[in-house]
Amino acid sequence: MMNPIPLAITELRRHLLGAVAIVMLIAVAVAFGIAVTSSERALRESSARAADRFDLIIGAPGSGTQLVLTTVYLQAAAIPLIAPDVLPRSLADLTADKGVAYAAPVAVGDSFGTAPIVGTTADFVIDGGRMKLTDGRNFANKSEAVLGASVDLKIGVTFQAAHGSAAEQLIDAHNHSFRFTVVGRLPKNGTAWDNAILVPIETIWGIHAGARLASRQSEALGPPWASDAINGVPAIVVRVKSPGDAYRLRGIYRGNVATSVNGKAGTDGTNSTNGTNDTMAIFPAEVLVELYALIGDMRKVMTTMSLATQGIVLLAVLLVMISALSVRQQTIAVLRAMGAPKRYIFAMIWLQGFMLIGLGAALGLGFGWVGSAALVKIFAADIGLAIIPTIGAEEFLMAATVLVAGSILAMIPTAILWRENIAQKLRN
Amino acid sequence: MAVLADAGQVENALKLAPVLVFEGVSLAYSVPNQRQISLLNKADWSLERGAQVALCGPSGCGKTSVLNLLAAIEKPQQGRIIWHDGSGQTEITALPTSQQEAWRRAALGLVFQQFHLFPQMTALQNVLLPTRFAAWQPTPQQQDRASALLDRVGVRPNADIRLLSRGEQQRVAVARALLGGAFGAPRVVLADEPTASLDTATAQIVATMLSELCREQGSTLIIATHDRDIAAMMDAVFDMADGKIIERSSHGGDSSP
Repeated sequence: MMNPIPLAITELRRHLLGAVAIVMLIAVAVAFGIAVTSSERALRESSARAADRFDLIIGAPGSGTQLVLTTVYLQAAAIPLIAPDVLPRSLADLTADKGVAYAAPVAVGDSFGTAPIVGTTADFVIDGGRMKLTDGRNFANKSEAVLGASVDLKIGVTFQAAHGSAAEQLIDAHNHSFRFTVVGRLPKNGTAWDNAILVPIETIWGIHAGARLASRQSEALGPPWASDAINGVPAIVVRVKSPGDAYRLRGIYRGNVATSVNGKAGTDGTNSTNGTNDTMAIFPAEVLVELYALIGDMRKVMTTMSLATQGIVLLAVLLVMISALSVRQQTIAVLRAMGAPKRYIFAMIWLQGFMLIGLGAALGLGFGWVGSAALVKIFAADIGLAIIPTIGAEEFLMAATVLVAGSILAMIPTAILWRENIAQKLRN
Repeated sequence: MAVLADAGQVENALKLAPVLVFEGVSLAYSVPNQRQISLLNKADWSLERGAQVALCGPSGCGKTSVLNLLAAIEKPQQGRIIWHDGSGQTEITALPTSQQEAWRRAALGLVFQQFHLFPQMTALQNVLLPTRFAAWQPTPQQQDRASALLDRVGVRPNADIRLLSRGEQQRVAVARALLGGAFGAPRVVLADEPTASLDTATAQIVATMLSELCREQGSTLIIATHDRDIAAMMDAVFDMADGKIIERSSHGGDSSP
């Protein structure tokens, strides 16, 4: 069996600069497409994963997108609080609902350094028992705090919360007098919550409502809360027991929830609503789907551009190969004169094209991954997601398509050679 | 007339002494915007086994074309080219392309004016290159033979072609031509102006080396050359004139068949 590989490699080395240029051209064209699809998928998967534990979010009427961004991605923004007359009843109803695993008020707005401080319940910290702390224990009293995985504090350390986000501190810096002691640390989950400090919601209510409210609070943490011990929160995160419960509760709190008909929390979904439009309830997925649709449209445009680029590059490579043949015609004639079969020449020329395109496609996968990492870094920084893009079947398929298309195109120059007159080339 | 079925049969046929015969060969080609140029016109020519001959004539007279005919690279418009061996005769121009390729690999060695070496390969890799036209890798015997040939022409096997002088490069090309096929040395070596791009002294060395190696291996040598000194080293000199191949007599006359 003939072996055209050594000569194919030798010929590529002979024209190394041109070969490198072609490989880089293909690599960049492939990388463009890979980066787009890989980063889009990584962004979509990471953002969806971040929203996993937020089955339903209830907030004051307003922007659903902002409610999700503030609650799931801890985006600092001024969003309306659930009305003081609505919140106690909602919390009571939700806590008593048999379809609810836990309902946790979530209060944001304070910070320590760059870490947002989030007031919530102990149940929320451990996701109703689904999550285990990597270090220490959950908070058990008002002065204790649990850290996200990336917060640079040690267990046992005491710190003082500052009012407002890190950005707001630049404009109006003032600290609360209350001090927290770190007692535990959460595992890393690649979301903005890795950088958060979780404290009891009661403490946040106490700090912000002052002595009046604090004096009415008991020392116990968690529900049920006395109506007059509750301050406003931007959101209630609800963990449901089944998708049916999620839809039922969304129906109840979607644009109308306030007072209970009978003054008690219902347990069958026919409770306490009277359509006063005091809350809104949203599945994070609803917002994400809109976001994905937008990203998807962008992706389609970018992917089309990428495919067009790859096509143009492959055609350019083909033209380069054909024009390079005119320079190599005599060499090929000499090889034929020495007894090289036509199929040997065919295989050698085709192999060169295959190797250039294959190497370009392989490098393109690598470059694409790097490009994808850079792209998601830009997008993800704002929403605190730790996104690690991966090269999946879609990207391999894209690179393979380029390779197959290139391999077929590489047959064209070889077909041209098939008709060459050796004797004439030798005479020349 | 034997039509050989495969390369192995070609090899077997060529183990016996070949005798070359041109029978009424005509060759002409067209040059764009010019009349048709006739190179050979019903030319007859025969060559004995192991002979060393020079093919002379002015530029454009068709020396290279005759070599191409002998290598079955070019087809005559008329006539036959026959290699005789002990078991019969083979009309090479009538063989299918794949058998012509096999025949060239097995029976021919080619030396070109411009060497046509691959600079990214070592001297040994260049010499062994033709073995890969039909095999995945050279046999140990071919490797030993290639090394021995390089040793004979005075070039190191791992020499970098780019660092060799033109004379040394042509010596590597000579070694490549003399490697032959799977059955050893080629039966015929065709050299097209092998010394034209070398200085006189180097040309003499290369031509002498080529001649000696061919004699040692029993290969027939046909050199197309302008160089009178090189031609004088051969057993016979043939001129191309008026579409014929005419042997030059020792005193300058013709001895056309």
